[in-house]
Amino acid sequence: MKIVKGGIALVVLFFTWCFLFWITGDRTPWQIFSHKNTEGVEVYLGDIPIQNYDRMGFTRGVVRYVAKNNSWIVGTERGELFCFDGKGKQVWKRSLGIGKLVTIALSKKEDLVYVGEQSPTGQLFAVDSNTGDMVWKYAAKALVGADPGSRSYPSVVHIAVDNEDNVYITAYRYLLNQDGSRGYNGKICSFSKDGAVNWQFPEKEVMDTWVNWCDVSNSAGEVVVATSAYETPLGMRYPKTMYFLNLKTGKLRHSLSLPIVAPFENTVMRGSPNYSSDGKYLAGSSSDGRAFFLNSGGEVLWTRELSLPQQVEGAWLNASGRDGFVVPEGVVFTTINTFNRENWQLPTPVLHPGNNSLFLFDFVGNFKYKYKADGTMEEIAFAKGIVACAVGRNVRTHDYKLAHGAILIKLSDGSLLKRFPTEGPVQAIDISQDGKHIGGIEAPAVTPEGKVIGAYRFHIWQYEQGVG
Amino acid sequence: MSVRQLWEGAEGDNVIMHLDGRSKLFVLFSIAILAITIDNPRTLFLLFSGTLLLHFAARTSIYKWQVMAVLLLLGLWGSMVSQALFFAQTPRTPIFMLISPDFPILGPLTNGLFIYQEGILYGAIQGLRSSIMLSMGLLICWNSDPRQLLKALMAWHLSPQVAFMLVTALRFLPVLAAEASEVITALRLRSNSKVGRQSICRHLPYVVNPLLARCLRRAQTLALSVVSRGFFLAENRKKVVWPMKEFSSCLVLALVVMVTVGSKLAYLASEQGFYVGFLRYLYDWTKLYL
Repeated sequence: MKIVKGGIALVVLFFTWCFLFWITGDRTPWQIFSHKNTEGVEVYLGDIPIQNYDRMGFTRGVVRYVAKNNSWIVGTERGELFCFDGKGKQVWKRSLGIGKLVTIALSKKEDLVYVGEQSPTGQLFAVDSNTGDMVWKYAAKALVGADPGSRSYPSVVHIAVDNEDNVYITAYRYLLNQDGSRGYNGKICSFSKDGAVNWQFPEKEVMDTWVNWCDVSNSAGEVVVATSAYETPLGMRYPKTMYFLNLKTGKLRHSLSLPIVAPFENTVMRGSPNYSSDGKYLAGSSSDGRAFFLNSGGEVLWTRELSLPQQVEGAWLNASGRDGFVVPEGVVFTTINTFNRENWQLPTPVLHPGNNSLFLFDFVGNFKYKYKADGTMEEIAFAKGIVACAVGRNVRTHDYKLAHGAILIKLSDGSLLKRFPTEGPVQAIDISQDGKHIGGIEAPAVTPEGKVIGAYRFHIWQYEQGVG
Repeated sequence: MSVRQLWEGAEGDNVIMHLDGRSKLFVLFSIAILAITIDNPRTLFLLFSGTLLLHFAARTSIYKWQVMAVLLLLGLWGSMVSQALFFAQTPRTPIFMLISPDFPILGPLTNGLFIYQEGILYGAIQGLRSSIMLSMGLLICWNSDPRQLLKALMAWHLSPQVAFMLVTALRFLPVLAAEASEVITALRLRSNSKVGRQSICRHLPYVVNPLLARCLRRAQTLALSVVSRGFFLAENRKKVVWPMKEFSSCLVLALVVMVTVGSKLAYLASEQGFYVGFLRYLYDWTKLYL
């Protein structure tokens, strides 16, 4: 009997050894009955605090496709920058500090990746895209100051790169004044490729407005800066919607105030405008839901209403416009979720019919089509003839199963080419020029029911047809 | 096989037994460092399998294998099951529900009880770490004369008192087990009870006093013999040469340990911002295999 018992222990040890061999390998037992997502790969990006689904400021991430070696540069909220190859294998990873990486851009030769962070110093990093080595860095604290004690952190919120690889950033810091009023410190700064400061705008002061966006055009010889401050207190020095700067000197060429619509005090742009590739035109959409098409001289050629604020049962509803791009097929604009103007968190009695949509107009302003997604168009990226959209949360319908994912839309007619569903909302996206490789960052969220959906992970999807 | 024979190093003729005490201790320490440093489940599994192979090389008896199997199984499955049930990190994926959150009474109390897939692997990693050390410890214990280990420690210029205490502690465990066995036998004979687990359990509360008295007597005898033999006065001990083959093998092992620890530290430093581009292959290797 004793021998049998001892024998059993040995047999169980042998099976345990086999089990350990199994679970420590790539093909783990729990994958046997699961249907592997053959459309792509997933890479976990690390633990982050999981935000509430309905929260206004949500988890972000940044991603860019590097065509020269079919790789992906991914920046996270943990301040980590990754390079993955086309199959999701990590090529390099480096930790850039304690801040959140909030914006990214590649140099024209794709040898440098510029990353902007929000942190107590608000660094702009120039990192070698081949090795991950730091080439240079610059603290936006020197531009807009910092007050970590009151959590007023400087942030490099947007980066644009011109054809000569000069870098243009918008740096910004939110202020809470002693009297309880809000204020902003904003600044635009240009750097050469080796990190030397070319110019700053304004040269000797800060803009007293929220600056969230800039774009550059060598053909126009101009940098356009859009502002985002909803309030325009008396005595505000920079109350206009757009400022056009000389590309070489940073001197102000002219500025533009766009007409205001109720119930807004000011017309603001947060994710646009952008120049056309020839630098002749600009497309942008404002937070009040209007689309603008301008020439580089700052003259508005036409305006269209995408999702104008509507008053329903005493509450003003609107779906903010965000993107504006000029592509060969026409002019593309997007809108996000429906919000209550009084307070973003308040419920809305209805959904704005123009929300969560992508619009295409021709160059003279004729409406071509609208594609309505089930969640916010968090970011869009273009390949030839295709637009890839990161579809994030829908804080009104709480549609967790259908909304989230990435979608590919045919630019010519707005038809859906492909949908890549995810469990959590997709917050960032990029696509290769041939349209075959799509990378997106999924974020986790806590639903109002207390359930955690999704995870902080990077997806690489393949679309074999590509641009055809 | 007696209890004492089970836990003590036996005389034998195998490769491990003939190794110098320094080599054995060096390998034991190196494996310990590797087990702590390595996080990759497959690499830890291979290290664990390696220690089991060493037992084959040492021709460990079947009875000892059985004892080791029980100890390893307790450690491995205990760790895996507990982590699978109570894994608290994220992400965690429930693969099986034991108690639904809606189940009356227990559901609201526990918020549901699940088996988490990440917890199984995490538990396996922790279990493998302890199993590697257990397996190596038993290998050295079963294939070393305590004098061999004492000599090794003394050769490394460890204070004779400390070395002596270390080896005495090592030998004390089998002695304690044998003494406990004798005390239980005596108690059983006095009470005229039958052999079996029940009788052991019944006599366990009465084991402590006689066992303590026996240990004190042994300690006194040991102290007297150490003093009378002048153990700590010996100054010019004969230096035993570390066989060249073993010494070189240990150097190679030291190199492996240093490279492993070094690359792990470099990887951790890179995570904290001390990143050097030309080391990225090392980072890659560390992430994949360590």
